[in-house]
Amino acid sequence: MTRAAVIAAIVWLELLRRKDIYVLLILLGALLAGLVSLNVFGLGGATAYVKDIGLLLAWLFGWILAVSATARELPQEETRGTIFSLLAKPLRRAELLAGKWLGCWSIVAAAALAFYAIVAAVALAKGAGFDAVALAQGFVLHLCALGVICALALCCSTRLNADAAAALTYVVSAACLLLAPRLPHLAAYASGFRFTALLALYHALPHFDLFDMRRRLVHDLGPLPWPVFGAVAAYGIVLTALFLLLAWTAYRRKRFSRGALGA
Amino acid sequence: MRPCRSTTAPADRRRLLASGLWPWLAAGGLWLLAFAISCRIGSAAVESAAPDSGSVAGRMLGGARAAFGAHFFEVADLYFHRGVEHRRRQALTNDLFLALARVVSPPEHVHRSGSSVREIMPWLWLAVRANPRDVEACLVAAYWLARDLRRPDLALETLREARIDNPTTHRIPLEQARILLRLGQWDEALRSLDVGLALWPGGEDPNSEDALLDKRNLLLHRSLLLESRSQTAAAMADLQEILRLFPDSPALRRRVAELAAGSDPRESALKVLHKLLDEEVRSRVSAEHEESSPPQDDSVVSAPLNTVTNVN
Repeated sequence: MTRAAVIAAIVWLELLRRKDIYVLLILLGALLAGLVSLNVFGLGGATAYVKDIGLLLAWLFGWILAVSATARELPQEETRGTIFSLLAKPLRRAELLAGKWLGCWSIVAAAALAFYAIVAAVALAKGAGFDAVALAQGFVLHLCALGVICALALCCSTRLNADAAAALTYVVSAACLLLAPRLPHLAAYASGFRFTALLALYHALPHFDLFDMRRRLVHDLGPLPWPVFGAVAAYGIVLTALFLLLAWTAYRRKRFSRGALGA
Repeated sequence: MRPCRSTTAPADRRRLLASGLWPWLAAGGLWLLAFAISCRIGSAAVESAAPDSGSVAGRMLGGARAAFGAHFFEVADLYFHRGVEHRRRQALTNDLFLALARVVSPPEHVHRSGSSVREIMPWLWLAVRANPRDVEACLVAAYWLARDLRRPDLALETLREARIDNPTTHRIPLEQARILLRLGQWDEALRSLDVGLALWPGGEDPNSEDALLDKRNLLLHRSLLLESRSQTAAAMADLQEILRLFPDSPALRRRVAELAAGSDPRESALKVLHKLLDEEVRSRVSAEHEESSPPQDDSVVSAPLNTVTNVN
């Protein structure tokens, strides 16, 4: 566990050096400042759109950061050849994977916390607050979703180069977020094999929509019942564990050759 | 400064080329070009949807702006229903994931009302800004400003700006007249109704149901206003024009007959006018509730005529 934490700390240092997070934070602040300055029919008082777009940007930037940070970690080690010196140390591959995931997820979580803080501050400045409990629940479920995305990206990157892993993770996670909730509707107009296939896909894909509490937060619908919140959080933890297990399965006996995954 | 710039520019270009950035810039440029061309194709296909063709942005992104405007209008509708989408047929009804999703995002059909309607206004504002030729978005924005937000001044200002971008439609003067009538500004309302009738059908098919209903409303409002001013002959002419469009209106026939018989119409006309305006609001609200039905069903069509019947 200590060795995984050391790997996570190295990931932190590397990602902080890259400055992606600062760029996204500045972009979020600038976009929200632009939104707040809109003069809507000279009316004033509307705040839900600031919360909505702010949270949407927090989700979007968190997603981009999670995929781009995680998908390049392992291929980068292999391309540079540092994987050989890493694995020459008393470090198991499972610990390497756990450390990489922990580092990426924790830094993305920290960035998401900063995103939420900016959105909440801007909404407050505009005269609208969030329900504190609902916001905390929304943030925790968002972290669950980011954990799943990081694990998925790590899983893809065990066998693909950085670009391919990132592209595959973007496609799968976007499909899960946008397409999966629509599948029961599409299945209503299908029959026979197509009907079965759509429903099978619906149950097989991760349901990222369950982690998305933006509607509750934007339209002030209050916090989730705690049993439901717990069930959704547990679902996220199980999915994360599943993808990490798949990643370990794909990585534990992988043979390396210098420059094999050169991007 | 000039010599300095001329010496550093080639160096910058060389650095740019050496850094391998140029293929990305070229790809971005080509994508932008392709996007602009596709937008122009879209604008040409739907000429009426192409807004602000005078500006460079309008010329490049005309069709895209119309699409953005339509999207913002849909988001405004979503906000009006507190984020609940219109019901869709589902293959599953008793599934665990669906059940959880329903708790996370409750699907109950609710409407915003009163001052909370202001939350939809930013999206309507964006819809109008993205596509100033979207008359429907302008009318909806003005309607909510005047009704629930009680800002008829802003509604009239919105319609005034909309008329600049849509000078040929009769629908904007009709909405202006409705607001002015509610404010009791009879002269301005009459002028708007005259403008609306002069512009009708405003580029629409004159035989379409919507166009005919708009003309009926313009004539009915004007006839009642004229009747209240004892201009009986002009009022009767408008009512007869409505009868020509909608011959199966016994209530209107009776009213024309009463006017021809010389009954004093002054008080009853204003009463009818107020009832008519209230009825129009009620019919719009019921149209919002009955989303599966078309906006102008039979009950809505006959409502103002029934009002005339009931009052008389």
